[in-house]
Amino acid sequence: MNNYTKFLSWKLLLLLIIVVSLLCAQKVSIWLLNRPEERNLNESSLDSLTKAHQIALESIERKLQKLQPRSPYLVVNSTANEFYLYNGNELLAQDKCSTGSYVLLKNGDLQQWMFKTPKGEHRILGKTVNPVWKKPDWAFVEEGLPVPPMNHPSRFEYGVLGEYSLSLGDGYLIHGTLYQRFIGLPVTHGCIRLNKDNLAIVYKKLHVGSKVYLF
Amino acid sequence: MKTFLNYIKPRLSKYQKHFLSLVVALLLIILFQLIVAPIKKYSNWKGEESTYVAGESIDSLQKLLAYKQALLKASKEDSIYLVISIPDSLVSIYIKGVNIFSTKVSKYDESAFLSGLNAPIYQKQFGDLQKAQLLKSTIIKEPIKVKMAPKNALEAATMASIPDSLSFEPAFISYELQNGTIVNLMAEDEYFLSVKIRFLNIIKGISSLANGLGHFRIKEFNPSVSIRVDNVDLSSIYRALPNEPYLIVRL
Repeated sequence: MNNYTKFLSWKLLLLLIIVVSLLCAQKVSIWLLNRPEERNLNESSLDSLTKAHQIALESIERKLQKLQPRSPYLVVNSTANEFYLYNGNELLAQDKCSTGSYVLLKNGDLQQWMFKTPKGEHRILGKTVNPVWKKPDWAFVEEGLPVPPMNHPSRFEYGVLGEYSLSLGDGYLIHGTLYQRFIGLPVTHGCIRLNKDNLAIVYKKLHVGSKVYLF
Repeated sequence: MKTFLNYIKPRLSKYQKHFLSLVVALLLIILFQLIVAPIKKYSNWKGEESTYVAGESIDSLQKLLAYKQALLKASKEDSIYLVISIPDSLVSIYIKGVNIFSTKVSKYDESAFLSGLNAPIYQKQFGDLQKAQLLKSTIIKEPIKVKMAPKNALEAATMASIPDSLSFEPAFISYELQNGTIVNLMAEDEYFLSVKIRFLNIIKGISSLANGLGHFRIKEFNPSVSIRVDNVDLSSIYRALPNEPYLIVRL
């Protein structure tokens, strides 16, 4: 082996040592930290500790169980536009729905409306058969029409919300639609639209006070 | 080594010797940093005195208790929070103690640092609520579309459009917990994304090391958990969570 080759082989060896030590340093350190510790517990204290943990666990389980809704409840996924109707742990129905479009409607610099479904825990505040839609201001602004006075007849539309509606407060409803082909798409102004059959099931199962979780 | 030095010394100029010494010193400092960083984190996590006495056989019970305690604490919060349970292979979102959505974990990886944690330290670090800070996300939180009000009914008619079907970008979300643990959530079957993330992690490690060297302090060590779930489910979870959500991790 000539001098140059010798020098090169030393260099390569050094480089290899550097790379390996850099790669392994942290791993070795972690391995040393994770070595099992010596425990000095006798069997009886281990038993009593296990028992204490089990009692604490049971107590927490009971508290967590109390938090579960007792009556049927609805969960709405506004990203996938799906709903899940539960009774306890039992899934009663799951299907497509429509939720807020995330459109921010601007009327000049003074007025704007955000059409998104409000996330969080809600309750059914009211149930209506054959609901009438009282059009809010944005419905006229969106159509390029002048906004009429509050109780003007042009504000009231019949049959557009389907056969039932369930109110969540602040004007947000769970209702039906004439545009069934858009079910499953984010097209609403914040309300939750269901198809005819699903709306009937949800209306039947949920009562005033039932919980609705929107996410 | 002596042979090597004897061999190499006469062949190096004065400047080369200085340079070599500098390289060796730097290498030693880097090695020191790499070795000490996890030890420092471990000692921070351990705290002064552990109040829990642990035995090998009750470790899993103690970890389960820590998880349930955190769930109970979280149930008092108003906002939606994220719960990751590796033994159940589930990533879920909860609100006020009610599990409102769950998705299966298809793949999972955690730092050796975390897998070897004993129950008392685990209970200290993961038996409480952790506020998470978003480090990175490839999807937007709220897909807002701004629409200007039409001037008249005719203009409104021309603006009417059929909505697009739902499309979801490959999701990658990274949170840092208060205790420094990095939680990476990513879409399954996105191998390019996975390579990109590994590369970004290496860059982050190097920058953290450089930062530590520059400020003459031990670099920050961040143990990590990486989880793969369905892409649409991950987007749903991310959009449901507030900007700085609470996170519960059960390893």
